[in-house]
Amino acid sequence: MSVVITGFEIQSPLGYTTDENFANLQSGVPCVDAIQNFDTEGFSMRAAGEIRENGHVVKTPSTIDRKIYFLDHILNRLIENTNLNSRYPSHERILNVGTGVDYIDLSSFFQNKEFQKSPNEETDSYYQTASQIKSLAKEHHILGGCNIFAAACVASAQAIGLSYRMLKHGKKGAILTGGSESMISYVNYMGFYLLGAMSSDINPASSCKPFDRRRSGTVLGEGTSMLLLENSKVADEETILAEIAGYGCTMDAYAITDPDPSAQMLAKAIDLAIKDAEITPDVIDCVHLHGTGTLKNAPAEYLALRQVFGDRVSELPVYSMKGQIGHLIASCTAVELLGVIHSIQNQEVLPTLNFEESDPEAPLYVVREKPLSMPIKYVLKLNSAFGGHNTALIIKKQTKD
Amino acid sequence: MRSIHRIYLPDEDIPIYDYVKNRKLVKYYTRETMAAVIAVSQLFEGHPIPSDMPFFYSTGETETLDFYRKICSEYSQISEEFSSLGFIENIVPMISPIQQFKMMRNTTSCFLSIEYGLKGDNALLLASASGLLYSAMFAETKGSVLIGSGKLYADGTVECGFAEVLPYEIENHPMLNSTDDAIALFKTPYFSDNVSSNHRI
Repeated sequence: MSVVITGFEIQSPLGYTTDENFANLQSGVPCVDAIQNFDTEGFSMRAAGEIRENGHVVKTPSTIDRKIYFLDHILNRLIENTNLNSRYPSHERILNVGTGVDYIDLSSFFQNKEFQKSPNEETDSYYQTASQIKSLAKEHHILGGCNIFAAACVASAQAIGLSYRMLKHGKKGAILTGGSESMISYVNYMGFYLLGAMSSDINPASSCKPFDRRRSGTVLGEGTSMLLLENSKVADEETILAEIAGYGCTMDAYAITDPDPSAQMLAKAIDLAIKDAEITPDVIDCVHLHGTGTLKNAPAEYLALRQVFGDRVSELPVYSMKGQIGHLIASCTAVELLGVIHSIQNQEVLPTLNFEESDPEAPLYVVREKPLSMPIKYVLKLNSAFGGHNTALIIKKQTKD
Repeated sequence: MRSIHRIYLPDEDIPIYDYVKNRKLVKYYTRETMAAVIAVSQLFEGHPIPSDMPFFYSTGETETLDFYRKICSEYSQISEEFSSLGFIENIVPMISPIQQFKMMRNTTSCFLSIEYGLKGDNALLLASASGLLYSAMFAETKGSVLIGSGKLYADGTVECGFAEVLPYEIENHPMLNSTDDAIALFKTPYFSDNVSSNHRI
């Protein structure tokens, strides 16, 4: 028995439909631009990867929590396209989703003088994430459980990781898992800016430069990506996109803002995932890294790979999607699985956008300019979070034996 | 199985400096973090915690409205209209980086990991009793697991619960498929035989 991905739906800066996402990923079109969903007058940094439909940013009124709005869309699509309702009773459908901070419509909160209400009075402008997602689960007849993960940049990785473990250990049913995030609002965008991780390059398209010597920080994006995971014994073989073969998760316990420069626990997460998949490091074909474009991320990822793969690190192709779409925080792992599935389906590693100059402190083999065609059976997917969480997933190409 | 449950009322001091080793980090702590650090210290009563012990934590819906009330109240002294420029020039200077750290959902679990050197398998959940139990049941490291939950209420009350459990001890837990907030776990009879509580609500 294995845990297989049998459905995948996504909305991201790459596009509105899943097909559009795959096409724009392949074409390498930059998807970070000046923010359109809210007025950024006075902001020194105005770039973000926003969700687009036919090339135009999807605009929502300030009364909408965008991460919930997009999650609702994607759940509809995933349930419909996988015929989920006809295959599993509602109590065997489980929702495990990674997501971000609460949304406040600050403009309405201020204009409607809600700030003058007492702490115990209801407010209309504050949107609590967990209760909204639990309501969505009920509306979509997902009644087997609803678990919400919130560890910043690894929230969706941990959601997928638990989903994988639940099925691996015999939990009956289908699990809808992934992540949904949008911090493209006054408070959340500026809050992230104040954490000091944002790029100083004000040109949106080039603002995030993963692994590049000239990198100065990351740029925010928004997006939702949900997978359907099933036990391979009950899944329709024709629908299998890939297999989740291993998962590892560790904590740096080093600092709240910075990764441990020794990268020991990131390397340990990789080691745990590889052992979980019952493989050895030499069979990993390529690595889809976290690759945020921040100064400290690239050396840490390089050192972790060096500890696991030794000298092979110089010839192990790596990739980051964030140069093209930005950092989607809580949903980044789920959205970046688009790149992993692309690598497995097309047997190629895509070039990382905005990578031009190698960094002597992180001499990774970053694919440039055009896709690298190669046989790919195992992809290692890494992510890390503010606070020191590290996750590693092993995704395997399914072969008909 | 051992467990602990703590409640601190709105005006009640949380004696964090009697327990914490990394005193310089306390300025970043929320009341939820302070309560959690003390509860774990009391749960283990000075015994070392293995660094590879899996640790799963579920935080509550964060009550950050106090912060927004404060900045909007101050901004209302300057302007009656909300605008992007007004936000940047008047509200943003009121937001300190420390405040941002306090608003991150994983603050408490990360500071607990730093304080006690917890480097193993982990997850941070939001208001999810079921997810917390499943995470502990399917932890990849053998041996006992630390689970915990905290909740900060709008009036300033903070509540937390922690348990050191073996995965088999929770595999029949009645809240395994519950959509309740995880803090409810520590108020159920399942854990109550071992509960040490300072207040009853």
